[in-house]
Amino acid sequence: MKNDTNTLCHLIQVLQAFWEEQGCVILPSWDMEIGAGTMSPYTFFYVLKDNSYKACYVQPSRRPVDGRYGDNPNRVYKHHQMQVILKPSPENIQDLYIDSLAAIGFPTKDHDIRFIEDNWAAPTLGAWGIGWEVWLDGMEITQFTYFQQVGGIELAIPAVEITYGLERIAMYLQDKHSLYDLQFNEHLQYHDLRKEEEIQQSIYCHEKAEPSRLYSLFTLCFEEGEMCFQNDLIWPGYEYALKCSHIFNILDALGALSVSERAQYLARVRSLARKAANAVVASQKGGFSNES
Amino acid sequence: MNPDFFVEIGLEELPFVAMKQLFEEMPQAFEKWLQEQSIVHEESFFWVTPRRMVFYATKVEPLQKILPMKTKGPPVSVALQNEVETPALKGFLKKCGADTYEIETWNGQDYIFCTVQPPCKKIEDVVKDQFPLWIQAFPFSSQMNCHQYRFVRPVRWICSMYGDTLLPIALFSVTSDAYSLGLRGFPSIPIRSASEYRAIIKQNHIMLDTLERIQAIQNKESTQRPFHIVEKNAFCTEWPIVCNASFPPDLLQVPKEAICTMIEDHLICFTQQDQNGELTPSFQFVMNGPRDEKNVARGYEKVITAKLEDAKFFFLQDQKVPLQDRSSHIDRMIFMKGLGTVLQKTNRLLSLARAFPCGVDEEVLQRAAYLSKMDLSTHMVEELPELQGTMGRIYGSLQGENKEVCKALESYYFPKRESDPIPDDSIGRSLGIIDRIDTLSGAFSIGSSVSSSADPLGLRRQMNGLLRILYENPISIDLKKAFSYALSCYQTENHLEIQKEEVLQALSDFYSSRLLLFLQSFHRYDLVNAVLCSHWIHPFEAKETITLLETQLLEEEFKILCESFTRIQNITKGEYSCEPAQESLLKDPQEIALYDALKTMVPNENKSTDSEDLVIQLKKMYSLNPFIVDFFDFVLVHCDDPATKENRLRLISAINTYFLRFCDFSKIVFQGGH
Repeated sequence: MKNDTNTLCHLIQVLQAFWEEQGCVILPSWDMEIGAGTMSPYTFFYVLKDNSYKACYVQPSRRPVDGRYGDNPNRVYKHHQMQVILKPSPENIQDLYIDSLAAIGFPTKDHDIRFIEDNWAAPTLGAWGIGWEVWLDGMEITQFTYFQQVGGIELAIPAVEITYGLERIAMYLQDKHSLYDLQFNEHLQYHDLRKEEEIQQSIYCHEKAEPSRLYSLFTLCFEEGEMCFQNDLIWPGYEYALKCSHIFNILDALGALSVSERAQYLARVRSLARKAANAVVASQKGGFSNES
Repeated sequence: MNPDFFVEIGLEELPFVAMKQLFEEMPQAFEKWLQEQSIVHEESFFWVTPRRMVFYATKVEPLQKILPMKTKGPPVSVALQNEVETPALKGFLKKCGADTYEIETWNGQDYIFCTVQPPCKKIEDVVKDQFPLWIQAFPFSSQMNCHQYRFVRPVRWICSMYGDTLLPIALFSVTSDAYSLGLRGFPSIPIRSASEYRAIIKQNHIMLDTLERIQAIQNKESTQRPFHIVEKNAFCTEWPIVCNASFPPDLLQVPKEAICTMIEDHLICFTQQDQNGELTPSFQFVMNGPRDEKNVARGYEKVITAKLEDAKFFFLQDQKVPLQDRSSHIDRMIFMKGLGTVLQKTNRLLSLARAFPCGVDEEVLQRAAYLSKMDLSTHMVEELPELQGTMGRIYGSLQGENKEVCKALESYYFPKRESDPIPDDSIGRSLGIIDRIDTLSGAFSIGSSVSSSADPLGLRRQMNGLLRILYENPISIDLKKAFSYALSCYQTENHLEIQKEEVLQALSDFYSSRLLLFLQSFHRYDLVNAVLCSHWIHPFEAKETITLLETQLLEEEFKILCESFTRIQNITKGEYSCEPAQESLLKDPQEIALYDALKTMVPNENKSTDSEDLVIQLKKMYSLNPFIVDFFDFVLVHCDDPATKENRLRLISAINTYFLRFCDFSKIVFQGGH
């Protein structure tokens, strides 16, 4: 195999092409700070609706608390997830997934691929799913989840969510010990483009961020979100929930929240998210199907 | 010879709990189903792997075997008139499909009976109709919404045959086929007949039998592998192969407990020790099926190395802030929702340790209590919560804390589960006691409770830990005072509003109910009931009393004592007088004698008998036996004179009280009654 076929860019292209072949719409990343692919409206909203849906997108995922100043070879402020949502789930979904691994260079016969039970739950959203973490030769490379309930409501059509950890997979493919040594393409390495960002984001999130301004920012976003929901504006309302969530994550990474404050902030983020979930389930507006 | 039959259901990976349940329950359930369906067979088997359930029966007869049934018809008086068959009889015979009948007496009257042979269906039809219904209704311990249906996990294929013919079954939208699936990445497996299924499937690297998989993992070398890891691997592989791998030796500087947690618990692999029991930089993983071993090992090595490198980083970082300087860190951590921070918990423990040192060196206990929660704020424990306590001990030692303190920092968490030992050091035991008293008091004061099915805070485990430590050690502590004090600490430290009397009552009830069950797992239930006749009984004292009672059960004196006690209870009918009997009102010699005897036993009401040796206490009670027997034989308690009657009731009430200090003898059951 030629070296350039293992690049991070190529990996993304292959996975996207694979799932496009399966009928997925290839979407751009959601253009906001997001903690995990599931929180993108492209997942959160569309798994709640009663229609079929197939989508695939790369989502940069920011976890301020994981920022390591570009030092740690495995942990970063921002990593990338490849998110695949299929609703309803095809009966051969596991085989499709296995095929996708073969497509990116892990022929199943040569590797040990295991589905290890790992269910997902977000009790405050009344949401849970049955699932597995997929181990490739002992390495957790994917989260595989069948959504079961959201807002305490059993989903009429359970969606399957497949989340690939792109950096991890690429590290294995390229046989790199550090994420910063990954090849984006033939010429550019991860550290060329991302190291400085990681260092600065870590300094910001762990040291320099100004808590008092962030408190105000959080409150402003929360109030704006509340106002949106009062006017049945679910989409902008949810985006403010995402903003709150990210601001909370920075405050948390700073260690700027006392125990009771932490609980309060978290409760407010969740209340916005719950409003969005309930509103989507209740409205079921904008029904469509991207299945031919 | 009758052919074999099997059904293989292919699934997406089953969770551990479901596999365990199936492994334990399904073989009997399947055999029972076969019998209920009147399917005649020689042997039945059930196997479960992560991806398949297999139901197999040997030498299955082609038809159901249902025994003929006798059916009762009309009485003879209705069925036959002048020995002629009436329409009623003809109708009955037609319904039964019978030509002949018998007459039998039933309830003193003659009736018509027919022998009916129910139709015996072909095995193919029985399985096709009944098997899907049965398996869908099976109470799997884990179920999910699989879009159009609910089942343990999504069904992906079915392979089923009777002899060499395909048995058509449909389960949800999946229909059976003559193909089974092999390991992932291996071709599908055509099955030509049921009898070759087992051999063929094995040739294709599927070990159906869980015990065989367990053995394959255990057998590789002579060293004993931890069973829980063996079992987990057997439950997530179909063809386990144990392989070797290694990690860079410099990572051995990570504490071995962290290395073991990561390798054994997170990656379900095996660590390896040298002859001296020291960890080596190598480990073994279990591969599912024959694959490129080098490839797979490379993956595992990468994972372990990355994890250990992280751990090394945490280990070095953590030591920059010694445990003793971490109070501001634990002030940012919640102890339990509604119960404040971990620092507040620590402060309460310090107060409790001061008030209830449980007979150990107070300074050492104070230090241990102060440091007991600090390790919760370290990166290492954040990453590996199961190492709480262990990291406290390790960091404490590195930072020059007293040896006893370090030991207690880890040991006080024990017993974590039923099979664990209790701490073998007195500081650890004392800290364990006050920590659990604090947790239970806090949880109850915010209205947490435990039901038979729900115990989200693990309070039962906390209480059982407390009981076990106290049961196994004569640690002197007044439990009522300690719990009451713990509640006060929440009032002062957390400013929590507590209905103290109510909470204490709830705690006392919970304590008694757990102690009852706990003691009953070691001792006769009646002796336990006898001893638990008041609140907050110390488990160790309960044990001592019960153990003494156990030695006395066959003694005649003991039996008499119990009988006397029961007689007292019967006569007083639960109405006791607290007033002392008046000497001047005593009349009969037997009551005077009893009064005098009792007086020598209880010379001073204020002097407690608690300190008295149990054997002496019992001997003293025995010495009362003849007086009590005489009393009951000759003295009429319920006499006509109200003053005399009252005085006699007071006398036996006093005896009752005296006995009850030891135990409630009326609860003790003798074979064949008292």
